[in-house]
Amino acid sequence: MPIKKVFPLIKVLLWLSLALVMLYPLLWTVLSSMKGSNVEIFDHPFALPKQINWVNYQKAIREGHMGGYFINSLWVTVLSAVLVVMLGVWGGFALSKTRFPFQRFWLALFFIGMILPVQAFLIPLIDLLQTLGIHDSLWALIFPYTAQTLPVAVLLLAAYFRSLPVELEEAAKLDGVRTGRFYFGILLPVAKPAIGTVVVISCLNTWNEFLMSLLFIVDPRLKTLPVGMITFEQAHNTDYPALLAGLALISVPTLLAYALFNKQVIRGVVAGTVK
Amino acid sequence: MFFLPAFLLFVVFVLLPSTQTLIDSFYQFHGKQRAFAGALYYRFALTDPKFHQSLANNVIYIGWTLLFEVAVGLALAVALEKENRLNNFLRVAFFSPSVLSLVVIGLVFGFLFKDGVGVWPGMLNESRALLTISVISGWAYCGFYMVIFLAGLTAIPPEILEAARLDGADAWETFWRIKLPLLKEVIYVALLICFTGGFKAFDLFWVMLPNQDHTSIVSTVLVKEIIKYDNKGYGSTLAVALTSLVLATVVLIMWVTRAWAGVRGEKE
Repeated sequence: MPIKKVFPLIKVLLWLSLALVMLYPLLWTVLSSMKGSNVEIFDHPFALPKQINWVNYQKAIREGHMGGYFINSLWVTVLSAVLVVMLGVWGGFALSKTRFPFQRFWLALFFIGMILPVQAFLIPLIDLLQTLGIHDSLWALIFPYTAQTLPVAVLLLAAYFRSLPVELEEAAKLDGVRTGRFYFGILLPVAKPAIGTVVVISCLNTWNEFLMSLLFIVDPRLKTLPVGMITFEQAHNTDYPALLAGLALISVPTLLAYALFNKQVIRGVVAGTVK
Repeated sequence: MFFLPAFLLFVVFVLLPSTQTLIDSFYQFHGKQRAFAGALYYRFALTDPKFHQSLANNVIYIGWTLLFEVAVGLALAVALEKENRLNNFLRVAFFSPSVLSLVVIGLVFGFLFKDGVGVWPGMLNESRALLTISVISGWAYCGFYMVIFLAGLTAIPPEILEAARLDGADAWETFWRIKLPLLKEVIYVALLICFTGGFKAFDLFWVMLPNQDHTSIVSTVLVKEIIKYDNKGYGSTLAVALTSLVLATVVLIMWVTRAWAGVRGEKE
């Protein structure tokens, strides 16, 4: 074969092996989760499982309470995203109007909110949630998550509304549309592209969140997946195949969401950073 | 009026607690009681070897992640810039770890590197743990930075690249002379995320190094002060220190950006 043809082929092979290295930890987790016992994992860590054992997955779900954790995570993620969108669209629309009083001040305030680390408001939140009577409930996560994602959502949506050619409100007033219908009938549909981005940012922020969830939730039935996994690890740190099955299982939703909504996820990631 | 609900939630759950942290850092807590302590905890922090060590670890971690996350991400973006089947597949492969939970990543690698039973023990020894965690972070997030840089690269007008090609510039020259300067804005954003993310880091360290003092970072020390020692005053002081560092970094990077843009603007 002439050199000119061999070189690109080697390049392709090198890239593919690099991709394999990147994906290998995931693959290893899945393969090891199907092995029969700890002994099989330790004796032949890099071998294929002798026999596929789905039992480990049953164990992870049943003994690890993965179903409960999953539903908690789902509730928290979905409700946070809904709140972020509902309130963010309102706030963003209001801020996008040029005659909004002290516009620059509010924009600056939300910008600061965007860069504040969780640690800045973490400790007093523990007491505050108690005062509000929502500690040790899923709301103890939903409200802080929503509040944390709102700044970036408001800024993104305000920028989006500003980029629209028409004065929405003027048009609505001329048509005599009432507030509720204006919001659901005009504002939400018009903002659809930006809302997709905001939903991605919100879900990525909340589904994998660990620190607040670790500190705000005590009741084992209310734990979200990341914290639940730690509990599961502590209880099953002698049954490695089951542990790895649990870890593989909780990675499925995000990987699946990424596979399905690849473009939106990438757009969300980029928008979340550049703004 | 439309603005109110979003603003209220933000004030109640972010702004007020942040102010409260600042206030609490000047108090000493005994259960529900509190007494004004002035700068006691700040003076303590100045001489606390645990805080110094953890801050140094944050800085070292940021240094490594600049290499393993940002630089690798940039290299990947430039290498996979062209749209074709192979590159699209590779982009997906490199990005996919960044949608995983850091807790899962920490548990899987923690298991692999566990002393005694791990497949590859010793990687989390005191002397190596920081580097190991940085490499794992790089594995998880180089694809994230790749995506940001790819967005920046696609924004470069093709005429400029075409002009460079006609002038006989090779790929190397094109990268250093044209792409890198035009990526300036994206690079600032990437540096911003890497620095602030490095100070904010928590999950991997908490999951993989639960009992090591020498390899703690500021936020793990902070959380331990709260849940292990119930020391809200010092915990708040550490939170203020961490927040100040994050804000200072943002201001510094923005200031440098502006200064540089100003100088270049005058030249042109």
